Amino acid sequence: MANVLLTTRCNRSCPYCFAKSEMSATPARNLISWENLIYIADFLKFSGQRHISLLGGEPTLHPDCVDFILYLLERDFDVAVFTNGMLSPARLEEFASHLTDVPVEQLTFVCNLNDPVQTPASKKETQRVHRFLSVLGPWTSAGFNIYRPDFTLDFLFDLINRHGMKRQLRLGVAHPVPGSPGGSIHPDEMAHIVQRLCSHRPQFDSFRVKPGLDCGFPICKFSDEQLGWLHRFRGAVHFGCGPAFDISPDMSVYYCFPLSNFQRKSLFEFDSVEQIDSHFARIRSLLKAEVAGIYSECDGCMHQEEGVCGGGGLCQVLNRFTGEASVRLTEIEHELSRHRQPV
Amino acid sequence: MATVIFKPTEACNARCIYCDVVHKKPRSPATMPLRTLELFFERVNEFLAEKPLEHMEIVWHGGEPLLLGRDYFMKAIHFQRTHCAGTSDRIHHNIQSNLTLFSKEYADIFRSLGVRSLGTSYDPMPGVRGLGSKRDTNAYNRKFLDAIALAEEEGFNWGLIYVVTKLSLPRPLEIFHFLSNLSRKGAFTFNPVLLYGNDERKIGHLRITPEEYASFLGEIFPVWWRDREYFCQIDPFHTLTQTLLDDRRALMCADSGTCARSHLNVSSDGGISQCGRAADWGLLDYGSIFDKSFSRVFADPQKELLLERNTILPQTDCSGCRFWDICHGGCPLDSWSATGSFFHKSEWCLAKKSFIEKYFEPTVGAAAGATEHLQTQQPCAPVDKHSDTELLRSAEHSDTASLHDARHPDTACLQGAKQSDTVRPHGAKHSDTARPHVPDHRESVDYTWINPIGGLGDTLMISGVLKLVSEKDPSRKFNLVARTKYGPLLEGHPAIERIGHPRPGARFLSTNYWDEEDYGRPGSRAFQLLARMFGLEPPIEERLYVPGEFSVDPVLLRAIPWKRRNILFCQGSDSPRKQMPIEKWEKLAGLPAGRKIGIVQAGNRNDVYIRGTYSLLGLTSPRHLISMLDRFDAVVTGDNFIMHAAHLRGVPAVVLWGPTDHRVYGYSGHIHHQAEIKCGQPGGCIGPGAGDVYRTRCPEGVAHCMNTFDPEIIFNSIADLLKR
Amino acid sequence: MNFPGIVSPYNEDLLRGLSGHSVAVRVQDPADAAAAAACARQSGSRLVCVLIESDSPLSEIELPEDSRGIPLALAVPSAGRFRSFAGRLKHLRQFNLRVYLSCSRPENILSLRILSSVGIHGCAVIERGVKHWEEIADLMTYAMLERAHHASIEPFTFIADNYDPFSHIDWAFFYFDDPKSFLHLDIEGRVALSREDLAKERFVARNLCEIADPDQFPPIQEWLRRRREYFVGLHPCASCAGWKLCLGKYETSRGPECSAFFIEMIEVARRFKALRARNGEAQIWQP
Repeated sequence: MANVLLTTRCNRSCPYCFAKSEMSATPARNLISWENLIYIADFLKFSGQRHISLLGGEPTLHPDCVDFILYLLERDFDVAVFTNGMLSPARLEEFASHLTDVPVEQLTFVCNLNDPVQTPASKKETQRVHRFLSVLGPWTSAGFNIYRPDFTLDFLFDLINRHGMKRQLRLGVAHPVPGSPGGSIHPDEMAHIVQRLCSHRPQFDSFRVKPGLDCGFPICKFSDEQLGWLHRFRGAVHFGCGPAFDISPDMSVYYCFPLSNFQRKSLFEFDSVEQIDSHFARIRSLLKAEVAGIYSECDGCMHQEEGVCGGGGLCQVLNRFTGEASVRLTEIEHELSRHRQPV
Repeated sequence: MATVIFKPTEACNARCIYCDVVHKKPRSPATMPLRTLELFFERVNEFLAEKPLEHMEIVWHGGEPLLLGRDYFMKAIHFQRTHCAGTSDRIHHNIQSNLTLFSKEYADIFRSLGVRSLGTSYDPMPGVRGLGSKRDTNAYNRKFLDAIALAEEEGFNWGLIYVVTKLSLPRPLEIFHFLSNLSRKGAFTFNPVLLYGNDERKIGHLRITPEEYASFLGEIFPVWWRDREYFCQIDPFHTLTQTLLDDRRALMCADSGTCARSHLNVSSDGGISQCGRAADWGLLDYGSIFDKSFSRVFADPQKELLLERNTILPQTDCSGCRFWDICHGGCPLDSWSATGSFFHKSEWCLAKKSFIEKYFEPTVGAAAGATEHLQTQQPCAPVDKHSDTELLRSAEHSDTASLHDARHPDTACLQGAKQSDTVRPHGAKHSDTARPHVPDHRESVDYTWINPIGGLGDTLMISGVLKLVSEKDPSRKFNLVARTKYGPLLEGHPAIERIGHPRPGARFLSTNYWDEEDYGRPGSRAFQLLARMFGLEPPIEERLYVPGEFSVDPVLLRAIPWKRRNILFCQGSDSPRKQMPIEKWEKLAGLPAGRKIGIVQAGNRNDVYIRGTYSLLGLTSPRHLISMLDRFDAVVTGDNFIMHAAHLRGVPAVVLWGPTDHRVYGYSGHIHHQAEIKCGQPGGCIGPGAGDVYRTRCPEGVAHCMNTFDPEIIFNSIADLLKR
Repeated sequence: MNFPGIVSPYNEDLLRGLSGHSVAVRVQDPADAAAAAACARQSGSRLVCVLIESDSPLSEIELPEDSRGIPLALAVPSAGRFRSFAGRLKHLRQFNLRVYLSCSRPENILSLRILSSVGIHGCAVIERGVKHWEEIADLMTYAMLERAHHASIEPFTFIADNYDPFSHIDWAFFYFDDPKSFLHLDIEGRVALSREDLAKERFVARNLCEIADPDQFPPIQEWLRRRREYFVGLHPCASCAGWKLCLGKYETSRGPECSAFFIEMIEVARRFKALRARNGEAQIWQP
């Protein structure tokens, strides 16, 4: 599955943003070109892929965002756009004009929403988001990043109902960027996070909102009862890491945002998605041979070995090495040296 | 094949600046009379009748042969039909013409003569070639271009000679592309301009040196080489490539050293000489067709003289020259022109040598050496035959094991259920270890970090060595670098303070004993080497150790259909090279039939199942497997973790060895079967410096050493163990 | 040489006189396409295509239903933004259509790629004096080597399919600018050898009857021979490694870019052939 960055520009500053280093490392107006987008579409089509996600920065800032979405729909992709919803009035007008005829099954906006109390935004930003939801609510599912243990989800259920949004909630855990300080969830906090998340079960049930877990949740922090509830509600839950990969506007491909500097390659070096998957699978196994997961118990855990659980996010695993002496395999050492903190 | 340069006329409608004929300025250009023409064909027939296996090539030359006119050629066809009825199938006509007079009529004539390809020359430069006394280049060029277009329409191939002069030197690639663009069927040859005697005064400004000629070719050659499959034949590149790389000799007359045996020139007066130049210079005159047959001419003593060059030159001018075989001292007439003798090399040898050494070899990649050596080289694959992807794949890193560049005892059994003895309290903040948080004062102790490298079998040896260290000096402790698989086996070890992530600046001890100097020496054992690395003085008792208590999954234990005697098979290994083929295992599993012996297989979930055994593949962690071992009466295994674990638990074992040596790793008390190694690696293919092959299959196929075992013999060993 | 096809304006009298000829009929309004085609066919001609020369962008072109099945060469100044014609693609795909866009505008080069990727055949009109050789080279590479299914972009697809290292390839007929393939008539039936000649009223005959045998017709003979003059006159184009694909078409705007482009096109065409040979071989042995 491919995540395509339309731009590295963003018009919001989230405290947990793990894309900051990638954004700041690239030029301000780093926009993907039409030619590259067509190349990516062809590449994915040739590999038999049907799904594409558009990211950023903030993808709706790209002047051709609407055209890209229409183009990818024309190419018979199911398109997901990860947005903060803070579209300008003009941009929202474009979206309204051209996208409101698209079947909701084919197009999804995953709107990353912040808690208005814990992460307050300006009035203008809030108004924009609400206007976005009022126009494109039916195409939109909510997304939320957990970056502090005392998070709440109540405001999300309210918005879902208020704007007729899709009854799905994408839940992510703020991951560390190896070597970078920043808001992220420590592995020791994970159990608490899971408990708190599952405590919202009555609302999930009542409002029939399906929780979708993004990468990095370890299966061992869920009780069997909780896993049963999740499965009954939404079918198989995925606790692995990957297999999506990110493609930046300059056609770099990397494992995910937090790992954007680890074994980064160009898309032009690959012939198919299978090759990319193999490349990153190899990286995963390299790292897993060093440390199985974010907990010591991951080493020997049946679910980790069977591939059911990823042992937490790979970035979290890698983060364990960043304060370490040079003791890992040469390949890993080479990459880690970019993130190593000074002695 | 005998080649006759046949010049029935010296008349020419062009005035090419470097042409011999032009400079000779014959007052009345002679044309061969018809009677002489007829006699010529009689001689041809005579020659071919005398030599039933011989063929003859007649190259119509001149002057300009098309000035002879249609009727003349019709006569020639008539004479051939009349006098060569029985030999005409061995007569091959070719033509060398400026083509400015070519027409559909001539196309028909040439077809009747069996000509398929037209030879010509061309140079578009103003003032070099042209028609009439004023040397009208434009008119010449137009007619020439029309002619080759017509020739192609009429189905002829054509090849042109381009004479390289001083005027050409500044623009080699332009000329190359110009000639390539001319049309689709045109091949061409670059020849240097040859100037002699009086020519020097008139056209000395066209002269080029051998080095200049070589440089001219050298500019073009890399371009041709890169895309050679997309060009028609371009010489001398094509010929040299065939001769030097493809082992197909295709030398021109001047380089063959055997022109005396094959070539003749017949002039318009019927005179026979060695070649056109020889005729012009009054050299090597063999008489005429009026009084001599071609057979007699080929036997002329003067030809022997020419052939003597092949004996003399290698001892003189060409002594030690590695290009002799493809040059033979060049054209004898060049030698005569320069020295008055046939027995010197041509000055143009230098051009060939210079071109090959400076341009051909560096471009093609063939090493310097004799022709035979060049002929054994494979030609370089053209760059465009490789996709980008392929090139990138060849540069990818090898896998984990190869990076270690080490021997890895395998990790036969991987984890099954979660380990109950390492439960982490939820909710509390801990450092990345299974042990309780280490107080600060202990963190400040500067223990050496063990960097564990190798498989689980190595881990057991390390554990045993560390136990001995601890017994000798309980205060001596180490930290252990956290790495997957090692922690569960080593947690709680008395010699290990903590398992975690060392800070920069920490002291390390890596356990790659295979890099020790004594590794591989007779009598040198892995355990002893490890012990010495940890400061123990060999020889020491080889005791293995695993901390903590052993516990077995009761569900598994209950499920196994225990029999009176029970054997554990372990087929797997990290390295395919240490695995006996599955067919042999299955045969072995069938041997105890009817003897109340149960066979259980343990190992990785990805190991191949041995039919006839009770499978526990992928269901046991290393600790569980160690725990379970004492329930078995014997173990049959390769060089893997189980082998070490059996020693640890005191369980008898039959161990199968191939690329690794039981004397280095095996334990006394086990029965060792060491396969005879018949491949080119008597010491075994696995070892230091061979990390890249560890995870690969043996290339010997059925000749793999692990395939030489006899299951019956192995079973006999098992039976012996069971009797003990 | 067969008698060239005739590019004729839509005029019933004119078309009636073209019985037995291959004909391409020029119209300005797409609504006239069906009628023009019918007229040509009824006249006893073999219809090559209807050439629609419109001033409107693709997004504003309405192709009437009755022109389905008619080969249409649609020349437009631009395609417009994707959003403006996205909704019409399904409709356009129902026609036997090739969209002609001039490569003098870089946005058209992009549009050709977009259209090709969504199944609309196109033709890149590379005019003399064009500057965006790099972008055209990218488009050419896409047309020839992109593995994902896409519609043709002429003349690149033709060149890829027909590339022979030992031959020249003349693809000017895609632009109807090759007198071996097409002659142009004005409304009075006067004959020109190319579109440019037609526009500049450089006629070579008053009517087609004056051209009994094109092989022997002096202006055509002269035109056919004109390539020879590059070699006679030692023109730099004759020494260009890209000659076999260019044939001097871009002589007036000759420079390093056009040479580099055609050399690159040769490389890409070779690669295309090599890939096809490899893949073709694999297919033979597939069960």
